[in-house]
Amino acid sequence: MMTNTHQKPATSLKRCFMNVVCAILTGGAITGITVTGISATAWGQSAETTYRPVIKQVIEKAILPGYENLVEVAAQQGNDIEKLCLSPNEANLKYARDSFRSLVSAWSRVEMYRIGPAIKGNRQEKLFFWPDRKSIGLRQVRKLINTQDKTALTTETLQKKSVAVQGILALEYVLFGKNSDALSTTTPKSYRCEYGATIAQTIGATAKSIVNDWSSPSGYATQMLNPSSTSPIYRSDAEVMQDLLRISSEMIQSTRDLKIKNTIKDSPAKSKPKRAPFWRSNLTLHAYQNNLKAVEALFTVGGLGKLTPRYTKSLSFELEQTNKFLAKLEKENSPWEEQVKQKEAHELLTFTLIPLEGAQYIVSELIPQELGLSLGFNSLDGD
Amino acid sequence: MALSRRTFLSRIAASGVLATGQLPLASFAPGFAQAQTSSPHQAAYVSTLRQSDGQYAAAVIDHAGNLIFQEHLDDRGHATAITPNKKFAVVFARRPGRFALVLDLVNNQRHQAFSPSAGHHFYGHGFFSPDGKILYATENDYENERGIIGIYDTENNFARIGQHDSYGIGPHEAILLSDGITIAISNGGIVTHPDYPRQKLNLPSMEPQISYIDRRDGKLISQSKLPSEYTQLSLRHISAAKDHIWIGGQFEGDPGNSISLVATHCIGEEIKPVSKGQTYLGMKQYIGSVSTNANDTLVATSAPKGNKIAIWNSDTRELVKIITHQDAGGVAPNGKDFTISDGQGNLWQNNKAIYHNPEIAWDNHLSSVS
Repeated sequence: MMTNTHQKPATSLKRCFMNVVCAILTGGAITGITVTGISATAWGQSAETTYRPVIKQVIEKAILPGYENLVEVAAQQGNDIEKLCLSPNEANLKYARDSFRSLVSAWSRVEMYRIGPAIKGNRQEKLFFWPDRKSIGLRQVRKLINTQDKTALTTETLQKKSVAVQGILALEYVLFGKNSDALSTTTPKSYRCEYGATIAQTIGATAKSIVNDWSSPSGYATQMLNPSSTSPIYRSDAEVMQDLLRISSEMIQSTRDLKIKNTIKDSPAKSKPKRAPFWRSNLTLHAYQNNLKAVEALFTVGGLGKLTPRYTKSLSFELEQTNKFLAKLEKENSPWEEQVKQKEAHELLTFTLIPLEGAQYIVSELIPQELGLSLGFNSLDGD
Repeated sequence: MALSRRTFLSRIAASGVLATGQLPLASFAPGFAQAQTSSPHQAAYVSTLRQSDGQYAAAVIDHAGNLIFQEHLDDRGHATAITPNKKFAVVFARRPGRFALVLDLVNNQRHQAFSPSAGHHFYGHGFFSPDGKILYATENDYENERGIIGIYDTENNFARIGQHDSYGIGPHEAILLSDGITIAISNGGIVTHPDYPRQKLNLPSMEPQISYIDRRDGKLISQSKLPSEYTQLSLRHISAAKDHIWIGGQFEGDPGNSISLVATHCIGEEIKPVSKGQTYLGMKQYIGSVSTNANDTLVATSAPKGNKIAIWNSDTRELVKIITHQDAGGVAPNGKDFTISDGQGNLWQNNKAIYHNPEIAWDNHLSSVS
């Protein structure tokens, strides 16, 4: 019988179940998958009893710690760049660049929380202006560096500028872009270096604003934990759960379709590796792995998996399978833009599309069906 | 191939469109409109749908709620344009789709399919010239991030014969006003590109606005932007009621903001929000479609994410009532009232399902043929 859930074409469904079967065979712990849903209320519990403790755990164990970590890591990044600015040398440039790896990890772990405080004031774009199809951000960053615009050297004034010049990708260009090696040989307190330090501080300030908007007395956490018919955001616990599942699905879909598929294309020759984020710092694969770990963490650390343990095991299997491929490629330590052009690496990246399709199907279809949380056809993606 | 201004103007002139006044009611394109009226069931509604096997289709329904026929679509469809003589319908692909399917509503069959130019995709809406000879479609010239109104010759297998600028980004829906000349366009303001399917690429800098252009030469007649606090309200769907257009939007900003999602506009005036933000509570900051009833007295706006349909008085701009239907997106005039479609396979009239098929989900829009 047709429900109001999104149906996948038969081929996708078949492929997904092949992966699930594979998970059963290799994992051994999964006893079976059924599509027939058992809603949370059918367990004899109210939605409030079932969902609210999980929502609380998601906020307290996954979302807030993720942003608090980003605040801390951005501060460390700022300190490391300040050291470089005061004493430009190769060792300090290396420290600053190493810090950037931690910053990318921290960001990639919260990138999926594109709700509430991250949407307000375009904070998501301020932190991560991607995709930048026409290299608008790159041009603006270069212009600031070329003109040595002093108004980009304080957090307060930088925050008022274009979203493209104050985030992680702007900082990546400062630390890894054209002529960035000169940061180790330039005079102390060079414009480029000070601009980099200001970006790091601004990232920290934006992340701190997000934390505050989550945790203030009437903040987003309170909204999520107290849904009501008069709330402008959530009318029920079920709507909160739908949002958490939606952002999980979108992170997987974005990783698969926008970040991998759209980059590698059908063949090494047709691939466009520079469409991927973080190719300059060669942290593309590192970022992707953390994006997927964040999704898994929402179900494990965050506790969503308690509601649907069978599918959570399948989901973990698909995500870990993908990350094994990505980690194997990262260990090769080759530049991303060269790696994508190589036949073997391209094949491995192509393989990741299969478990990612399965993972997305589990999160967007199977789990909502089991929990009775399926979104309506016209509510899925407005137009 | 672009149509020269002289050729285009002469073709428009030959089509007998009045320079001012009301639409001609019985002026049909000779070739495109010569189908015979032999159907036992008169087509009343057209909509796209998704089947339980995940396939997409366009369906034609009669007044009693009987399915007359349906045609397979290669991908998800969106809205439908009906010829003034009610004999043909053109179903557009949902963005970033590139197909349009022409349905013969008299012989109940597929007529033909066509596509926009290379480098363009449809946004999913369009309309016919009053004589039915020309079809206009909202399109995205995506490499140049430019909104386009594509022009198609219905008498020449829907050959693309030209285009107008929409004077904005993301022209989602465009309608022809009652003078038969002025096109009202809702430029949603959001940059998208098929390389990043359905990704919104410019939310911090979006500038939604309403443009009015002359359909004969594409010249800009007037343009209106929203007040600064509404810059992230992407204007999407429009319908004309008397001397105003009614606009429904989707808000891309802070989800905690209580913001008016419906507005009205008349050339030469400011865009005016309808009712206070509190009225839209529970509508999830998203209006799915806008429609006017047959005598222009009522306007319906659907909010499928909030399971609500608001009915407004077109004169007083006051809320008449809110109807609740799960996942209801489509609204189409049904005399002085409306017919509503939903994602659970229902067509509703006066709270009664005239059609129910749980094996399908009706898509966002429902078009009335009569």
